[in-house]
Amino acid sequence: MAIPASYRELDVLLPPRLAVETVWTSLSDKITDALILPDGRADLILRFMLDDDDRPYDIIPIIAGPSADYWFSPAIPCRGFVGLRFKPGFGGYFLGVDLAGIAGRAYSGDEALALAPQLVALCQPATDVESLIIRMEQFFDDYAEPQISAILVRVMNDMHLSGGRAAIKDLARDNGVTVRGLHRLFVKFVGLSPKAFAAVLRFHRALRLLTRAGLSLSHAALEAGYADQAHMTRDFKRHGGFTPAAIPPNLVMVGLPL
Amino acid sequence: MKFGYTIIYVAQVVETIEFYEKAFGMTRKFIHESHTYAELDTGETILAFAAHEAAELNDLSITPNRRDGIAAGFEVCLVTDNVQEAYGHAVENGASGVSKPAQKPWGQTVAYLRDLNGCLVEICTEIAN
Repeated sequence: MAIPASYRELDVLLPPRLAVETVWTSLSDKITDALILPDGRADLILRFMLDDDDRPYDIIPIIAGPSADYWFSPAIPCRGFVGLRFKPGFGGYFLGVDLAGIAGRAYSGDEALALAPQLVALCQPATDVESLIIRMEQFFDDYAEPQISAILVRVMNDMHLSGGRAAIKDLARDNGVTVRGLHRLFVKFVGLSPKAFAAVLRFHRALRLLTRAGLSLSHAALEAGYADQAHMTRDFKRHGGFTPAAIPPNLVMVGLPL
Repeated sequence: MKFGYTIIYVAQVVETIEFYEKAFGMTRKFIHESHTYAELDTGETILAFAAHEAAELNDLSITPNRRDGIAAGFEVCLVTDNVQEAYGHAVENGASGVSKPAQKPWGQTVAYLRDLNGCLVEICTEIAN
């Protein structure tokens, strides 16, 4: 199972920049399905086909809910994607959907339009992929800066800093909120429980420790905060569908900035 | 091997440097233009501050220091002739007192504070040989 290397995060600063993590593009591989790792974020995606002149047609919207599970994007020649990844906590506001209700699922075409009819404006014909990217970037220009809980922002920050290791009860205590209150904030704004969100962060850090830092399996398990190597293996199978000893080559690892 | 730096990860690097200048009379050695790293002029062994983003960039897992949280298990120790005056000056300039200057049985005067990030700072006199 190979992963297409064509996934690319674009270097853009968008208003309101607080809410968007990245704009990305991807081209479907011709032969192999693409493994999509969970990142706990919601994405708005435009899927399209490219004609011989690289002109997009059949443009349809996809709303990908926040997920803690991996999935596969089927191999279809000449199929492309432009995606906008919302920072955790902000996607629901911009899409106008309840993220907890769409967690772990992707809605495409009419299903997506049923959730967010305003997205129909994104599906007009386009001359090239670049103009689709610009269309996507400008779509939320008129939206006001969303207000989300300062406590939630602080907790998500601490979660990222600890690589998903900090105990939920400690995060709640340190930020002056009950565990139940924190759970409610996460479900409402992020769409996942704090535990599921932290598990995704821990999985990604363990992956980086193994692939970039070059740690051994036992050291990576310890440093990432797993009880033992078996625990790390179970988590890898759950979130990635592979074991730590058999990480697919050319794995697409999204940037998950603070 | 020699001891070169202590680097504390903080939310605001420049603010922290300014705090150490104001509250403890230290001086800055340099602040990187990205504002993600800065050093105090502390002689051969350097006290430096790096932004949280720098920890993340290096795939470190850290617990952020926090003023309203429990202090992490380390301290920065500053040596002065006049602990009483230094303590008062630090408190006036935003440090929070943990314990007022007190004379230890071995002759040293010692006080404890928390800096703007909640890190423990000890102010003490030189230990007499």
